[in-house]
Amino acid sequence: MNKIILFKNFNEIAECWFRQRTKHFSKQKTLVIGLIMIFGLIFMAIFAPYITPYDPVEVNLRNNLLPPSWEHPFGTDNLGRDVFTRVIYATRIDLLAGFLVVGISMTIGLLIGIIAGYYSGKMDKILVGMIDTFLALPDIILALVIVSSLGPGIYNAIVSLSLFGWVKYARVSRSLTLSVKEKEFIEAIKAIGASDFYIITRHIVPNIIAPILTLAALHIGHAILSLAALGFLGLGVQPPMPEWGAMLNEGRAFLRVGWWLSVFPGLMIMTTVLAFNLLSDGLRDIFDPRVREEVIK
Amino acid sequence: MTLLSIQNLRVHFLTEDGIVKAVNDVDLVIDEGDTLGLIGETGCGKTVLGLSILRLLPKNARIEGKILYRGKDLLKISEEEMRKIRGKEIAMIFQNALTSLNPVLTIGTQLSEPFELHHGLKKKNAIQKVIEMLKLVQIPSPSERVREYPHEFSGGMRQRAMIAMGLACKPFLIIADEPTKGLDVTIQAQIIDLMRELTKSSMSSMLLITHDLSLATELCDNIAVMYAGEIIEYGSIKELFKNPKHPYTQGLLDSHPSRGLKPMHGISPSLINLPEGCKFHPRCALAMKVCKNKRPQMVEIEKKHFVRCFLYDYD
Repeated sequence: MNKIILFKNFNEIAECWFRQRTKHFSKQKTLVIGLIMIFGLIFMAIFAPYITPYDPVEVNLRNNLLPPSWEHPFGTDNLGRDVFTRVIYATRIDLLAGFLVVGISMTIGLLIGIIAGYYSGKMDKILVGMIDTFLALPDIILALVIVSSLGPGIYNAIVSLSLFGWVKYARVSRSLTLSVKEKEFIEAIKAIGASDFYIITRHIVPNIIAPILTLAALHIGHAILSLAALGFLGLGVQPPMPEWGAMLNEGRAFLRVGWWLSVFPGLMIMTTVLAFNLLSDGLRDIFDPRVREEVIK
Repeated sequence: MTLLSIQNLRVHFLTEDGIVKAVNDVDLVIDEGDTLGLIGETGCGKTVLGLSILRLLPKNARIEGKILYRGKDLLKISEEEMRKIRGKEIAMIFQNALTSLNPVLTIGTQLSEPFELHHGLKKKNAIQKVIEMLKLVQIPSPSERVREYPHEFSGGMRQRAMIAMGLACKPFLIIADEPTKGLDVTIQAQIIDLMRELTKSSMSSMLLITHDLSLATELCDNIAVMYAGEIIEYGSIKELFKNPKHPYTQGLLDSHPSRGLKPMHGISPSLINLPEGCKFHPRCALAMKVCKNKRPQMVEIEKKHFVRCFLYDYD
């Protein structure tokens, strides 16, 4: 009798345990898939010369506008360049530029946000005013204006996107800092003689970094999309360098005779943005304690 | 020798609802190696007094008076100098150990901070010191425990960790703000024993802020009773418990279970709207006419036993 009950209990426990693990995974799936996709993209970017035998910029007019085939899986463009090769090489530029935009924006935003939140008072009012002003501006249009006045090019595109990208980080990190700095442990750390710099770097940043990273993952996708938009308008990477947005634009004129010129770069943009959005979703699930509780239940 | 002497300390907070008069004309002296208990009800300004010594009050606080630490006025020195005193010479043990530890850092990382800040130790060496400290406060298997987070510690262990952090740099003065709050009685007893041992062996002075009379009797040499931001009675522990003079002190002692659990009438006044004259007169059964108008002065009725009440003020 006892044995049976024990056994039954054991079964229940095992089932419960199993369900917990699988549920956990099913919620984490977004993160895992996103990560796999991103690693795939990074792999492609790094090993581009080993993946494809062609050169991304070499013109070969004899082979122009070939449809997808075994030799040219994504076809060739109007100048006879292999579209697959160009899409892969473009990953390098787009990913790097995306990471750069996010890195610069995050650094500036965190700095301004934490300073505003930590030193409340006049400093806070001035910085919040600045943040609100930037939020009121239409960012992509102004980025356009800035790039066209600075002159087209990838560096100017990165600068102008970062110029508006930091605002979100500043906003979020300020409000997070405001709530963290009132916590008792900050007072306790002051009581052992820590300076403001020490408190900010060692105690505030680790406490607010999780939501900031979630935001950053989302922002990378957004930044790549914006870069592609600038490229599409001819303001980003200049030909003959391959970039997805610019390739979309180049393919536009040949849409009737060669759909593959635009479709594959477009699909790449979509995949990349999707990958980072999945990553961001997954990160939020991990970092947000409320969601995490649901995951464990 | 006098270690800390507080003179005419007044702390007021400017708030939207009015001026909160948390500490009013407080004089206190702590000698070296002495333990002074500051007892009083919740919200009578005890914690504010403790925080003002370390200058950790919020920005809306207005502080007047003097806090002399070894002859130096802590209210006048620069923030830089103050930072060197905090944690190294004067340390504070906070009342709520869970919220006073950073949840995202390990115990080892946090406890090594005093060593890094004041002795310039690198993390690796500091961790060794932390393990020694945790051993000292009797946390089992300290070398594994340093890698754990505050939420993995039990309440008593967290409080021990807080004590270890406070004592890390062997401070001359420890301000302990209700160190046994929220702990069950057996753990309280352990913490009390531990603190007594540690302060005796390190010859530190202590300012013990508490509303727990039994804790005060266990640890203190002298007691100051605080009511509505004022010290109303001061004396040695034996004298005060045997022979309480102020009606408030008598009421406080009588409300203790061991003395019959007789509650005091009324509630303590709001610190924004303090009564005129003696702050205790609306609740006092022995109140006279003079209590309503005039503020009583501290009178020494016996050697080192002061009381602020007109019953003993014969002038």
